[in-house]
Amino acid sequence: MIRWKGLIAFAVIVVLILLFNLLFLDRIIKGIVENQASLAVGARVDIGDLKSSIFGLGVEIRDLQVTNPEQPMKNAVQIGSMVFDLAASPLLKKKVVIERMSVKDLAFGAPRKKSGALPRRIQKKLEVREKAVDVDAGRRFEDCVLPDFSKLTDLKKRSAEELLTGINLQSSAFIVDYQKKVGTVKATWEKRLAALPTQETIEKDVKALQSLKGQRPKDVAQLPAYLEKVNTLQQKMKETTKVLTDTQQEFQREMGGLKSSLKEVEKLKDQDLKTVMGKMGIRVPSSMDLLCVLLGKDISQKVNQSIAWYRKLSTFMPPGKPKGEEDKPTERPRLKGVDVQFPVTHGYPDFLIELAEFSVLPGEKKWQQEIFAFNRLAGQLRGLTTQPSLYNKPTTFKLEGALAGNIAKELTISGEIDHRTESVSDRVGLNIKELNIERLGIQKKESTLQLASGILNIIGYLGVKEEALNGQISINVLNPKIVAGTTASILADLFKNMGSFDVTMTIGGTINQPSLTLSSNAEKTLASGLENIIRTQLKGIQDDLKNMIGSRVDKDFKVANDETMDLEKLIRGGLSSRLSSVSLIPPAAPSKEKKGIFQLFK
Amino acid sequence: MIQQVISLIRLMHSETDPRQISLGFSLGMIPGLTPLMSLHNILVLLVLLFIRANISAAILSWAVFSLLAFALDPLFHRFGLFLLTDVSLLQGFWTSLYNAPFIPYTKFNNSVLMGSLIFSLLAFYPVYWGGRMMVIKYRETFMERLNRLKIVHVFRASNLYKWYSRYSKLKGG
Repeated sequence: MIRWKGLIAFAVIVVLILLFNLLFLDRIIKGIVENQASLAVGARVDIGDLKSSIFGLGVEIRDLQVTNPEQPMKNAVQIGSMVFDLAASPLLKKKVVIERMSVKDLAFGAPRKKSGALPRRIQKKLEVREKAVDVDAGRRFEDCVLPDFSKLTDLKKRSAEELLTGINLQSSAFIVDYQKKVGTVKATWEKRLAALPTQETIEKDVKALQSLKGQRPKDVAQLPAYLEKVNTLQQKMKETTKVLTDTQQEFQREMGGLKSSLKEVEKLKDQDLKTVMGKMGIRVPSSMDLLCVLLGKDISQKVNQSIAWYRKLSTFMPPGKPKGEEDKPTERPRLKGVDVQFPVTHGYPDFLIELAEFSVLPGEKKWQQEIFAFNRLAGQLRGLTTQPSLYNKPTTFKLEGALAGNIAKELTISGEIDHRTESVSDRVGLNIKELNIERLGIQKKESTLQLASGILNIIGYLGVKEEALNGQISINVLNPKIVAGTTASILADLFKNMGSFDVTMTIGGTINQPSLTLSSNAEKTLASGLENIIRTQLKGIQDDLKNMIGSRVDKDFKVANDETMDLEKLIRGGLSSRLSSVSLIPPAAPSKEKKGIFQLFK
Repeated sequence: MIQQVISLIRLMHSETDPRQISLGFSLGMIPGLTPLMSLHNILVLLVLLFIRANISAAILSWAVFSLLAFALDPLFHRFGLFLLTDVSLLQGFWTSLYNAPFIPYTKFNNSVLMGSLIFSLLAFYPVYWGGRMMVIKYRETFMERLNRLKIVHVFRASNLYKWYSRYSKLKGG
């Protein structure tokens, strides 16, 4: 029954498969790493060369380029060479444990020769997968723009009336509504006034009470009946007084509301002015708008990118779950099934970098300017794993170095990522000393405002506690030279003699909804300077528009005000006359109580 | 593939042991139903080449069951997932396999692989037995009747058959 030839054939097939793998192993690994990393990053990951050593259990990667998913023509990270030493025994259990990794030549933001965007088909797949992780942080900062100030010259030639043509003023519409409201209130109160006891009725009751008091019986036997009569009338008068007082108070409240709503007109007039100015493209920016365009936009972009990268990293190192709670199998497409993860009872996690050493020796590699490349770097990363709860140690890292081309004298990134338990506690710190903007040479196209040169000292941190974000980035700008573009040339003087200033961005909110706030000590100086410039430039346009809006609205406003006064006079008059009649009621008659009766005989 | 079918027909008409044919067919079913690029299929290949099982039957079976697997895949997934996650008695066993050396490379924790492998192992003997019975039955009853059919005579007299016979002899078949 045994076929020895078949056994030889099997051996030949196996040897051929092994030989094929050995010959093309490097290409196979390279392909797998590139594909998987590209899917993980969401943009192309290219490896220049990959060499593996089966017997030495090592891998060497040269010229690794990770594309920036938001800027496909730039690399987020570029690494000259990486050498891995793999542990043998975990490999038998399908676990990749990198005992030691050395990373040389690190650069950020290097330009790419070819676009690193992924094909549309894969992008769609990723969009579906990453739908829930769409970071929407700081959109306000990222969208901040300055108005086109060059429009001011054209506007000066046009009259205020011409500028207001075809614009519906909110203040005018409000007054029309207000007048209608006064009419309704008037009708309602007239009805209510009619339903109240008339002055004649009240006076009649008062007279009846007064005459009753004069007819006090001398016979004690008639006294209870008399008192009953007096008290009934008095009770009626009391109720009338209460109704009138309550009504008067209610009317005063309503009138107060009406009058205060009329004050809104002034605010609406200002609003109209802003709307008209805005429609004409002469929105007056705040000092924070200037700072936002100058620095805030860039900082918020960097913060958003960091949060997005953090989220990507977090998906690969999920926080540990409480005991007994198992990971749900991840659904995979048809014919692929799902891989059920069983608890790892002992040994290593599925993927672990025990130690990664980063180094760049001065002058080792020449990088072109305009990128964040290190010309000196030393540091370590420890304990990066896909199963932090199993590894039971936090990931720590600290890198210290300097940027090439004297872009920054010192740069330190350090942090700790602790995903061992469900309550995640991460913190990353950044410290850049003397970042030379001019040497960095970022030239923004069509930028309205640009920090052309200056020395920045940046210190900041970003912390994540469970889902909550907290962080702060403080930038000290020394010797700034700010260039205003053609559309903002009127601001040139504002920044001419600007000294050093600080900008702080505070990060809060959650990972899903980060909130960013910007503050600066230059805020007041910029605000007053800006006000002066705008005032000079607008040269009365704003005042003319204000007066024109006023002339359109004030006439109606006066009418509305008069109507309000009339209404108040009418209703208050009606109520006051009734209340004054009520006040003529004689003092209360003695009660049936013993004391009262004795008083009666006094 | 056509050649394999013709070889199988010739086998059916030859003196080859029906057990060899049905064993080949049953062994071919395993890579047909389970994902091809799996470690256990190397073992199947070894068995197939080492013992005297019919390779043509195995290849034909692999092709037939591959098509069938496409339709049965959702069932395999459910069955595998049930075995891997819902049978509490097996959890300890799977966990120890998951933590054992080499075993994780078999991808046993994949629902489709587990479902299809267990299904094909369960179906192995019935397919083997059924196949053997069918070959015997065919040779006993249908073969004679088939040989008497006019169309078979016409086919054997055709140039195509003659050409194929010559080609097979040249190949040493």
